[in-house]
Amino acid sequence: MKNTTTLAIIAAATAASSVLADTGAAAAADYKGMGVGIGAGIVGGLAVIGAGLGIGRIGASANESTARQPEMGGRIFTNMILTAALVEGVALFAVVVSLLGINK
Amino acid sequence: MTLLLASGANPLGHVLDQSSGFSEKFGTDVKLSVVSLLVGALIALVWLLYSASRIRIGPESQGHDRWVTKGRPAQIVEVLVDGLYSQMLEPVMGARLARAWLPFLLSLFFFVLVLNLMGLVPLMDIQEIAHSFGGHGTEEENAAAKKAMLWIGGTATASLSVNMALALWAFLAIQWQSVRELGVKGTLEHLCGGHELVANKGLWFVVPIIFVVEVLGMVIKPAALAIRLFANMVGGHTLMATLMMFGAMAGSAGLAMFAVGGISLLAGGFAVIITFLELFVAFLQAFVFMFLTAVFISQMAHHGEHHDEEHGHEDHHGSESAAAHAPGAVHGH
Repeated sequence: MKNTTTLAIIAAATAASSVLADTGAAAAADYKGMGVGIGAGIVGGLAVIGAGLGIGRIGASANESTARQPEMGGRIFTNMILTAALVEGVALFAVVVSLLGINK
Repeated sequence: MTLLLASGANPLGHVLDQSSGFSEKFGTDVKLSVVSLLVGALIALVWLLYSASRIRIGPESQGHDRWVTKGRPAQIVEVLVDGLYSQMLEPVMGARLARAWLPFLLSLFFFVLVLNLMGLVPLMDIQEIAHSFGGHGTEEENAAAKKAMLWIGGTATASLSVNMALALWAFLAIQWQSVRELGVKGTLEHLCGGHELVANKGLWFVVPIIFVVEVLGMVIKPAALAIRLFANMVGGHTLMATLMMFGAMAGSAGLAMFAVGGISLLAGGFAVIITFLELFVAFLQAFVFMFLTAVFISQMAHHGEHHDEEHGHEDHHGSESAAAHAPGAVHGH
């Protein structure tokens, strides 16, 4: 779902803008948050990759099972939504970690 | 009139918890999530009590109508409860546990659902609009007045503290189920990997590892419940706030009016679609919270042992009833 994608973009953009805005002052201390910013962006991106792969597999197997046995379609769809919510929750753990890193 | 999310304001300012206007009235720092919790609890209570009074079976004088639930709120509750119990809880937990834990799990579900749905109503923006009609002047006055004017709003479940409190209840429920059914010794055995592993003395070197992992899991599983709900709510609301901010950002960046209008339409349209997604996520995350709590509770119950006990009891009953039925005696369980 689009939540993790856009949240990762927002996390990366916040980190990047907080770094780039400070270069006008030209002080070494302004690069202090750069590691955290880059780390948060990478964490967000990896989380999105993991979520995309996981939920893609879930959708693929759900569609294949429904094609094999269409009368189980409702039950399979319910299970797919539930499992997708769990996988997305795991990906959102990583986004929470990156947000905590930025806001510290 | 002040543009609501304009001039580079942080979208997270609309999502994260902040102090309400009640802080000045009561002296202490009363956050918006506290107000939302109380109002949400009241709404859930009224809704569920009303539904309970309507789902009740009516008197015989109504004939066949006595089984029919009247009133839309009651019918919604009935459909949800029936679907959750028969399709989701009973297959996972078994009829005995599901029936015992049903009040707790359903209270959890409806409470989280009401809190999630309250977050989708733009109460903070309505209060800001109503307040800006009073006509405040400078930015400082607006920022100072903002703290005093927000009475209710935001999403209670977008606050990590609220979610941790809900997860604490889930943790207590799991521990209570474990101690009640397995006993303290049984709980420790379960944490060491189960009765079969502990009884087998040759495998004891693996017990410390399992114990550490199980104790960590005991704490981390409810915490994961809380963080999952928190991240879903914060993520969704931040996304909506950012989308709705685009038009105002374009306006404050000084673009021409038609560009601002076009950007506002596109971003706003997408925000409407995301609101539908957020509605679905509100229901789904409330359900996932309750369902995972139910799964964790059911893990703390007797599994294979019950089959042996039931067979033993059935044989006992078979022989006993054969002996007792002959003289026609009634024997209670």
